[in-house]
Amino acid sequence: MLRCEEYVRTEDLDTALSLGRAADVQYIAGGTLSRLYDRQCRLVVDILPLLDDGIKKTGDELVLGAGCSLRALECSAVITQSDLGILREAVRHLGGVALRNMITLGGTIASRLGSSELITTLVALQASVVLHGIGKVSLDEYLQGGFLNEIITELRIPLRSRHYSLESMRNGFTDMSLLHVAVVRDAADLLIVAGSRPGRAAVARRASRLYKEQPEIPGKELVATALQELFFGSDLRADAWYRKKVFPVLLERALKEVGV
Amino acid sequence: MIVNLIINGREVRMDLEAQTSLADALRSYGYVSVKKGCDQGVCGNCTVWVEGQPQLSCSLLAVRMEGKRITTVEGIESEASLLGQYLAAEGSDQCGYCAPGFVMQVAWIKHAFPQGVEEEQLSELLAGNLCRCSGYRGKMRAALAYVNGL
Repeated sequence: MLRCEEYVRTEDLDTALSLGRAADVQYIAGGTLSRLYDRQCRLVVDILPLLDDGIKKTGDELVLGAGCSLRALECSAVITQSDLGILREAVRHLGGVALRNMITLGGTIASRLGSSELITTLVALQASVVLHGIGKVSLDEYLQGGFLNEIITELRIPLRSRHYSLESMRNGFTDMSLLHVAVVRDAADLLIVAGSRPGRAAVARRASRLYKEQPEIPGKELVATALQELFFGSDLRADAWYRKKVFPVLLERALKEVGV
Repeated sequence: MIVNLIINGREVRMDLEAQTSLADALRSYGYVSVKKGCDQGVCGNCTVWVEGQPQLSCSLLAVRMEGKRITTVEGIESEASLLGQYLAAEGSDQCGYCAPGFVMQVAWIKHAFPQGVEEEQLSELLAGNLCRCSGYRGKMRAALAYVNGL
């Protein structure tokens, strides 16, 4: 659980950021990870009141406030109308309604959790985060490391015509997946992203390049390439061996669903 | 830290440590319907309403709730009593420990879906409320009947 000595809310994000960059300080948005992990800090800075929680379409992008709850994302008419039902699929297995009422989009992304199907899906959709004081950064780049004490204010998803699929393997309906794969295909690209490896979402770049060079390539060759280039490990949920057996099945199903 | 909450319609002033969970705060101030099962945000036993929406009180810092309306089972006595009759009719409770969280979630469902719900939808809406004893079937029958006004 989270142990802290002090709690503070600031008037603005600049002040929160200056506090957050000091040692032994933790931001809190939804705060749901406070019970799952043992963390100790001197000061907790509550940034939730400073974050926008709206979901809106602007031009060719879907813009989601970092304070938006996963339940709001799940129920959003704007997301349904934007033909991004995959986002609903990515969150609906997470615990229950009460938990999803608390988990925020920004907190989820900042956690960089390997088990997050939402993060994997957002990478496949080529989403970007907007960081306070820095600007727009691709989510893929954000997840590589760095930006550790920065504050996410928005998530942006490009809107274009595409096919997508999310395939997961889990032990129970509300359990975190032990492996999942998101595939998104549009006119130009095919992105294959795997998560719960148990590591964080990773893009199978060689497989994606292969598809770009040879759009008629059989799905089985893409699966073999992706399996070779991605790393799978062991944790409490599954062995590396098991993940390597399950991954080709999930990917093959996902590729069929997007028409490869 | 001093924090002022509105609990079941009543203003309550609490003096708490920063790391105190809302579940601990509520229980220490006499709202013992709030149960801690897993204390990790998984089981749903600690479900309360915050501004009318179900949330897990074990995973909320009480100091973040300044000025917020919190509702526990003690605050929805008549609804809880009626739902309790449906649960009793199905013989659905054994130890009863998960009941308060379950009641808060089902009562919220009735408010949120006045048109009623199908069984599959209800099952998803209750997926975050775990029960070790009952096997869920009696609870589902009771909840379905209550939510759909049968």
